[in-house]
Amino acid sequence: MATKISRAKLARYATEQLVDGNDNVIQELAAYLIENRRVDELDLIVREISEQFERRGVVAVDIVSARPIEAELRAQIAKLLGAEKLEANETIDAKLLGGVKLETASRRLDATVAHRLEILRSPSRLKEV
Amino acid sequence: MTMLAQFAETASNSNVFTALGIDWQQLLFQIVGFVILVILMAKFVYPVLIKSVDERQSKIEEGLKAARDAEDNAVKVQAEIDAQLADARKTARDIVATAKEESDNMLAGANKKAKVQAERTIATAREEISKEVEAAKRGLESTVVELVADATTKVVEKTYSASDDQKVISAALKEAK
Repeated sequence: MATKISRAKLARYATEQLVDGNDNVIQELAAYLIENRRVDELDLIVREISEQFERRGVVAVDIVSARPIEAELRAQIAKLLGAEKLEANETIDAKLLGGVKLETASRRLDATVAHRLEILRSPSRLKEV
Repeated sequence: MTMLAQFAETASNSNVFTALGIDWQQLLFQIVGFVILVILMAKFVYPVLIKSVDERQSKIEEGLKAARDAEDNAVKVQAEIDAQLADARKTARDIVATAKEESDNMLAGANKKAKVQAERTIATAREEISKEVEAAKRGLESTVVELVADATTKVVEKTYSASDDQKVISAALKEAK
């Protein structure tokens, strides 16, 4: 009976392979998870891989804003996240009114106007502030 | 004078008894008869009379004794009645005192209870008023906040420029460090 490989080991292996340019590791990982009936751990493993990348200076970030982000701000975001290389997935959402929302594997920052107004409307805003 | 003279004359003619008109035989006979009468009386009549008198005396004494006993008993009974009355009065006083004390205690307890109840009612009313005031404040605050948020949203939608947005984002990123 095969020994169950931990999520951390799987993530570390996948990260190393991706850094080395072996993109097939994604298919191998998917096959392994399906074969071992561990598909429900996929999100956790992806998060673990993202964290592994963050430790290596490669940060994948979801950027949501009301207007397109300028290059200067993107550099400021990379500096904030400590990223040598920023893999940004940008989305425009006019409902946010203004500001920006960042989400990485390990961090989350919501500096949107909509979020601040939501905090203002929240009955427990004093605690949050 | 005539009689005295006649007596002196008769006495000088015979003895004294004759002079007094006393007949010796008749006198003797009367004495014997009297003695016999006395003996008969002593033998048959006096005992009966004395017995009857003694019995009567005894009855009278018994009656007197009974009267004295009854009087003594009456005195004792009166004393007992007085004692019982005294006890009854004392008991009544005690009962009245106890009842008064109990009523005082009950009154004091009722007053205390009423005071506590009143204080509790006041405290509850104050608490409810405080809660209602707090709820009203929260409601008012919520309404004001909602209005401010809506107004802010509208102002931002109309006046918030792209350069403002970039500045805000930049400031937020600096603040997040």
